[in-house]
Amino acid sequence: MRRHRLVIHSLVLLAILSLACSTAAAQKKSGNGFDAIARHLKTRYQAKKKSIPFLGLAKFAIRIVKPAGVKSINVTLFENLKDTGELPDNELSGMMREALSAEWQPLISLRRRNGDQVYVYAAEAGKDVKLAVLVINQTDAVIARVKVDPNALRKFLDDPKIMGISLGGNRQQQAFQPTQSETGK
Amino acid sequence: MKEAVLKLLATRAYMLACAALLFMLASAVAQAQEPARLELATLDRLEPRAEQTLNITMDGKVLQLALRFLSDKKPNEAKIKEAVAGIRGIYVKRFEFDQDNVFSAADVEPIRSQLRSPLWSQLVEVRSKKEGQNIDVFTMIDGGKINGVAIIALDRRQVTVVNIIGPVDVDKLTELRGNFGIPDFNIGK
Repeated sequence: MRRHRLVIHSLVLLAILSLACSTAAAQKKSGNGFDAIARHLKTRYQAKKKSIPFLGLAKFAIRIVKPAGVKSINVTLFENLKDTGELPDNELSGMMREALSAEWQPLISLRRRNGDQVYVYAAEAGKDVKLAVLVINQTDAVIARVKVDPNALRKFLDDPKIMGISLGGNRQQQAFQPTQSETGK
Repeated sequence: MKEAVLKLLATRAYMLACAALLFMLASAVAQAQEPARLELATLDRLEPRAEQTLNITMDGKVLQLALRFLSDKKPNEAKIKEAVAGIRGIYVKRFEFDQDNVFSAADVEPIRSQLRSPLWSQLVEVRSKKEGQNIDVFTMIDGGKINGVAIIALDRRQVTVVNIIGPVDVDKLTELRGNFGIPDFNIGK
């Protein structure tokens, strides 16, 4: 009887441990997914990472202000890509799928004969939506990660305001105001 | 000792075979659950000839994410939301060419052959010699309800195939024209 209980306890412990390990591995993969894409660009195309001035400040401001429902943004720019060739890199989509964890779902892929490629992946983050975008052409590449609150974005599109300051003026109101002829006056 | 090793190996091989069988069964069940899903990858041979290739993959989860961006208050967006309700996936593949007649009917044949299944029936056929535009709309009817739609839209420089999975109201389908990569076709409205 005691032996049975010991076996059951061991199995439960093993299940908990394996669950914890798989969760940690999934989180690790998610965190490293973008690094893996960056590594591919660096090794496959000898791409050089380009720093964007004031990006840190912009990211901080975005976290505070959350303009248009954008809660966070991360942009990495690469330049001087070599050996891009004329045809799209067939390995790129497979590499992205491999790099990003299962929570990321492919949404759009666009490939042009001149080598331009765009890949958009989406993932759910509670009530927010995360988007991962890779844009690559013969000389440059951009990896962007955005976390957006769709409700806030919708509200922004209806009434473009940042920190209470209207960006659209009263153009929208005017656009929806009926003209005299429409009201029949 | 040897016997014990052999027994262990045999047990492992048996377990692996069972796992493989279960995986195959699960794949078959998944395929059977979505009989309206077309194998669009059969069009990939067009890619080397195309100037631009667009793939849109919106399965149930992504579709629900995309719908969050649409407002209930705006009539157009509310109609789209209503049209998409219940749809389990929208898949679009579009090839654009820089010259006329780079593709032939044979290139689209792998899709048409899937639509020859008795489950599919053709709803619309539009042929425009002047514009070189051909549009075919197929529906999969299951239990008296439309459970999938396939659209093949061809013109001289473009091939678009749309596959919608799930219950679709054909009247509402027109609301989706020009959205989610679906061509702005006219099916009699």
